Amino acid sequence: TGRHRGIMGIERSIQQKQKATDSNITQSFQDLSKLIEKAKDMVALSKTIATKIKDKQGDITEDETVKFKSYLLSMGIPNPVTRETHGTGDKYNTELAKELSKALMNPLKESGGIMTLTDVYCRVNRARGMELLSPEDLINACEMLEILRLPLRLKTFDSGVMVLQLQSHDEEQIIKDTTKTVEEHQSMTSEELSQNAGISVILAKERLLLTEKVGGVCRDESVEGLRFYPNLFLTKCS
Amino acid sequence: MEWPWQYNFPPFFTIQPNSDTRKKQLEAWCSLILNYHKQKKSYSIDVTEILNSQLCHNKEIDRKLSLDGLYTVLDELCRTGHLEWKDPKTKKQCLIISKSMT
Repeated sequence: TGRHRGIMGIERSIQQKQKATDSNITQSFQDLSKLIEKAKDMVALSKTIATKIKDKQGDITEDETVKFKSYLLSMGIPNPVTRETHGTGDKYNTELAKELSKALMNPLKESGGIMTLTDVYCRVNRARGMELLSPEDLINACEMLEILRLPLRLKTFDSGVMVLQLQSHDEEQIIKDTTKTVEEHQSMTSEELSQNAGISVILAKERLLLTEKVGGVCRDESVEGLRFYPNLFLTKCS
Repeated sequence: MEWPWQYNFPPFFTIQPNSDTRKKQLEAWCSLILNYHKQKKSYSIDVTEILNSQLCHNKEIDRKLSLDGLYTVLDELCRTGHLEWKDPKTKKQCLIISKSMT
């Protein structure tokens, strides 16, 4: 049979294209369901292994549990409860923590020794481009920083805001500086301090709250917003 | 009426979260209220009345003590034995018990 011309020909070629895409789609879905079935087996298996490890009980990091954790990670199964009791974190997180401390030393120094975790997340993932970190990965790795005695540390403020700090970051000095800056300006909002000190508003607020906590400043809450004043209650009376 | 320096200090009208600071602040509020009523020679307090009076509202710096704040101060006065509620359940009116501030 020769090539059809005209409308018949066009229709036929369209039909053929549709058939091809159809079969492509069905094939990929078939593959996917096969993959899911396999993954289900893996999950079931890993759960039984987890309970087996649990029965043993132990606080020493064994090679086997370390291996098992990396399996869990590669399948994307968060299983923190059983994982936490077996080994302190895992190989992946440990290596990631080391990488983070290398990559973040300079940016941290530039931003005054402290950075919110969301900023860190942006910087790291923007630099990576591929193989991005999940928020959980980042937090897990950051939790390892202290244990590995790396020069960075994770800190959570009372407000729940998480930051990375240089180990050398001196909180007392910050409090002194903040007290002085507020005294010089008579009163300040977080926004004003953030402009004055060249830090983000979130961090400026945390600085003021920290200084308030030790009695360096006191607050004035009104319709105009939250302002901080030198703590005359403590300094003027005594 | 001579106002203490705190009266012109805006943070005076916000109850302070820091416990040391709050202690000093409440002391100042307590003596302010006692002095105020001593000068007026009135010994009964109506909560809504003083909340809207000059005592709790400094128009010059545009700051006002909140109702919760006022209750914090009055409860402190009660605790130190300088004040008694006429109606402990509703807490609308109270009496100042005259005795020297220590």
